[in-house]
Amino acid sequence: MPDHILEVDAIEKRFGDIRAVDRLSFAVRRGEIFAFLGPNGAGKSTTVRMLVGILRPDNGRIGFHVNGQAEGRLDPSLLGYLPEDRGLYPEVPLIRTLTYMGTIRGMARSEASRAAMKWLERLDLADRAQDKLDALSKGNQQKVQFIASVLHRPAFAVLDEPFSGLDPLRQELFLEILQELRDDGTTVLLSAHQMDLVERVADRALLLSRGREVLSGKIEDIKAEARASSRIFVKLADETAISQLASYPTVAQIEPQPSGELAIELADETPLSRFLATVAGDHEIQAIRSEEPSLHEIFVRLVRNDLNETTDLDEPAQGVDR
Amino acid sequence: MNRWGMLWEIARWELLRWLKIKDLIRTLVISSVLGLVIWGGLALVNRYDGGAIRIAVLNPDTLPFELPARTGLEIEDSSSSSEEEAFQKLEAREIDAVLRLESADVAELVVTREPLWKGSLEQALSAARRQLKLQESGLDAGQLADLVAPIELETVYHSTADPPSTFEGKVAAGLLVGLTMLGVFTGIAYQFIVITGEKQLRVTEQVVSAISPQMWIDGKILGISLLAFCISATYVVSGLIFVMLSRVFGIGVGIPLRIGEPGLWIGLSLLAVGGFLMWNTFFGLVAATIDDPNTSARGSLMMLPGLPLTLAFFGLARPDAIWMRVLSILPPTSPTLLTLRLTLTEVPWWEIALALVLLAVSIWLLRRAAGKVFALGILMYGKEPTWGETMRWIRET
Repeated sequence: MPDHILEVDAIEKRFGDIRAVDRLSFAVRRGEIFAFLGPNGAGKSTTVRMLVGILRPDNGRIGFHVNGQAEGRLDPSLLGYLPEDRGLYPEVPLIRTLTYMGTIRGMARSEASRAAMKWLERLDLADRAQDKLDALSKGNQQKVQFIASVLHRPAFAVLDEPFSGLDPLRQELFLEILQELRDDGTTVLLSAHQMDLVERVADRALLLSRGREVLSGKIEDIKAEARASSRIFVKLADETAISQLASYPTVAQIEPQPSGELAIELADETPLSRFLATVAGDHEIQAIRSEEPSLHEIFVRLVRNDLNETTDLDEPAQGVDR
Repeated sequence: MNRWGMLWEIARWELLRWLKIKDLIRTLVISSVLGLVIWGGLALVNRYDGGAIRIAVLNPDTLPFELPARTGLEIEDSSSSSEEEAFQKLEAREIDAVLRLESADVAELVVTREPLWKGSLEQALSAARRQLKLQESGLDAGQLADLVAPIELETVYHSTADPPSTFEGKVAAGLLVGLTMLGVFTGIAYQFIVITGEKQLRVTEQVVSAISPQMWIDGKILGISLLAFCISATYVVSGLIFVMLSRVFGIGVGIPLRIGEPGLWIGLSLLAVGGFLMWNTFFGLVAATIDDPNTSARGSLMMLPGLPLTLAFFGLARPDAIWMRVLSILPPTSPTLLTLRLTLTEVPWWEIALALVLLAVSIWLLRRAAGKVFALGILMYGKEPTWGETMRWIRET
């Protein structure tokens, strides 16, 4: 059986003149949490809709490998989907809604009802099982929505913005649950904007901009690569030395900080020791520190660089396959 | 879960989501209470109000006559009272009228309010006068009996086994058609609410990732049609309770339908369900193209099922007219017009069978088209497709 549960090969999707997804290829490994990142309009939701079968790609191929078979579309009982654009039935008791959601994913009614109660207990909503959805707070509605997408224990769960609208405590709870899902064998494709949360839970990530891949790999590899071009913060006795440092060939970028430090990004392949030796020869160094870039910073830097190439990246908010 | 199991789960969900058992029971209780109050009240009024119209007759020997019991008129015994006493009773409202018989040809009726029963009295007096005139003509009893005997006129109906529709029959047929249409309008109203509501609630993506749009719309059509049938059946049962209660109190509203014929009810039920399925399928298609039901002009299409209802009104007088026979076979008019004809006249079996087959075929074709439009329409927000685009979806997908 292939190591990958999902393989996406050069898929494309256009809406009129707008190319929402542009020859995108990636693979998701079995049993991992795969983060699907990108700014608004990068093509994430369009890609997700193609993965769950709501849209069809104009070109390219999507393949799932489950139970020793390769399929273009995953059986609904094996797929969990939390859409970005979501809602449930407000006038129906939670337990009935969740049972129905389980049955349309192929569960028997009694089995779905039992699973729904377990999940409601896990998310502290067991005593609200007979309440209607519109009687719940927004955060609790989000929990119910989440349960509806994973209650049937799918092999592959696509979660589009699962943390949106949650307070920090609930975000922590969802992180735990994502890890539990992975430990139970569910592969998760996670699309989210909360980089600090993604970096704590994801195994690998793919950064998308303008419908194309900008970066992908293991989270630690991405950060290690970024660390190589990380910034160092130097405090010099002579605060006017900035212009001289900016002229060093070893310095790619320099930026004064409110604290009086200079944030310095070194030129490619410049050893830190060589830079420090040069500076120490010319100035008195009072303090020095380095800072590992967060995923958020890496994301912002890479996307900014990409967007600088063009400003045309609008994706339609909604679209249909015609 | 197999395809049929899934279809039933969706239909069951839609049915139970909207079926309010308490409301249906309330409807049955209200019709029972209304029946008890109205018919029981009428029975009580008849019992204690004296009921009959009482008439004092002056000079009764001038023209002896009898008032049949069915007229509700009674002659007040005034043999021992004077004319003055009779008028005093009239003033005191102890009697309703004073009839002064001047001769066999002239009489005067004195009343205090308009005599709605005057026709019955006139008939009785005319019969007595005719009898008197015949006696005066010198005929013996045998000649007299022969003279007034009515002609034996036997009625034999050509081409239909049942008698032509009576007024009661027409009322019953109209009520049944009305109840069927009530079910149709209820169904399409729910269909609009369900589909446009789910679009607005943003439920669609999660569901469409689990089941195909065709399966989803099939389940909706079935569930909402069952809902419409349950609501209509409740109204039929509640009407029957109302009518049966009238009989308990001896008032006896007629039920001209051939209630004992299960075949008739099976036919009516099939037509009702077929009609609900057909209209719900069509309006499922329409609702999928609507973005906001509050602003869409397509809501006016809900008047479309009123067309067969209008035709049914014209068909009441001549249910076997050729245009009625043709339209009661062809959809979309067949569910309404055949219901009307089945309750009013004898319909050949082949017409019923052909109508049901054509109805089933039209529902099948409509559901295929509805599935195609639904698949695209439910995920389309912010814009309604034109009818041209909709037709293109049906052709090309």
